[in-house]
Amino acid sequence: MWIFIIQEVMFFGGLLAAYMLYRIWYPGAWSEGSAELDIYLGGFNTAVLIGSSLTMAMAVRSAQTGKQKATVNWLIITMLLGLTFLVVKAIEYEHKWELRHVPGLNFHLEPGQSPQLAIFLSLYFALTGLHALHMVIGFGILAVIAWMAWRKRFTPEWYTPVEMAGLYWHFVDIVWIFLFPLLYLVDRAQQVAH
Amino acid sequence: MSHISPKSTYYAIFGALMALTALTVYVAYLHLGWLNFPVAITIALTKASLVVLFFMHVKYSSKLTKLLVASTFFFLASLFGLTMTDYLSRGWHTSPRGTTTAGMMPKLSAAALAELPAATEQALANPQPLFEATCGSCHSFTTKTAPTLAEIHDLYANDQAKVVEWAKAPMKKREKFEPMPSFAHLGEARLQALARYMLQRAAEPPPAQ
Repeated sequence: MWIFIIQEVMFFGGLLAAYMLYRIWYPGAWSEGSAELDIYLGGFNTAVLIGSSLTMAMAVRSAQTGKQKATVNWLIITMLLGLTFLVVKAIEYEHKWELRHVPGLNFHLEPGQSPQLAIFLSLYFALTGLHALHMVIGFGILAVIAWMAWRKRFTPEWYTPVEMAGLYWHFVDIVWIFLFPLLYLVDRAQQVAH
Repeated sequence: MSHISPKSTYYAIFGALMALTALTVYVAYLHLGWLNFPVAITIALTKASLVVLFFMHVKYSSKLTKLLVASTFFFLASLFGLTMTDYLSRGWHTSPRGTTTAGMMPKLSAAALAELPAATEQALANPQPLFEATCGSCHSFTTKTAPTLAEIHDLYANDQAKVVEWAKAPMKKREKFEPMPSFAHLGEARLQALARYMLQRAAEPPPAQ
């Protein structure tokens, strides 16, 4: 499982390297693009995801201590928090669509906006989209694990699937921990100055 | 594997993660200059470490797991380090004659142009940043790759229009320098402001070394 996570880190790492390089080349477009993102929705989602990591950790702990019922409950709460995250993300995507800031599908620049805004937004959609895809997959995994826990398949001696699902879910949380400052908080101080 | 953390540990870690999230948002609005970015990354790394060590139980895992996790950072650092050392050093190329090649120039027009201050009255009132990003990168008081500001002043002391004209369609006049590229893409308003600023700056005595 750890080796899988390491290759996932490298997978996101490649995109983050592209992010870094273009950020160094086009700081202006990065600052503009980031200013467009809703810091409240992004911050809310960060809190939701950290909360879901807590409930996931509690689910693993319940499985460790043999509390089957609690395991199921914690897993369901984790799934609901994951769903909340995805709904908020969908609302954000919809805003982008209305602004006509979806590169490739619906894109239009206002006068005075940097053309490289398209690069920022492409990376924004690539990074958050792949992250959201991981969330959807994680949601499915948790559903299976919750069903297994409900069928009382786990014992304090064998709860490996719960633990593995937990590692995956925490990894997805960590990705967001980096995406939030990188995408939403870039150069906020400079924007206030202008 | 079988280590069971007390519930209080998980709640404490959750509290710390939320506090760090609030901190990173707060810090993002402070004026720290170039420090903003490293601070944000440091906070994110701290949060990630808390998740890895406690939520993912790496603190209580085998040495092999710890080694694997540490190797992730190594691979990631290699990925970033090698990519950046390549891309960010590409503009350093120097021609055999010791001058910066005109090969850098297309980058200036395509990439840097978008970053230049807009041609608003406010931006043009103080063209210094624009100057530093364009003419100033070659023309200074001490430059050896292009005519110095003093030379330009001697040639065009009171003729702003001539400077603009030259910048739009430069010719190769001096054998020892690389040809200057055209800056017509900057537009009339920017060029006028730049020419005015350049001549005004050239008239000032050179800054002390």
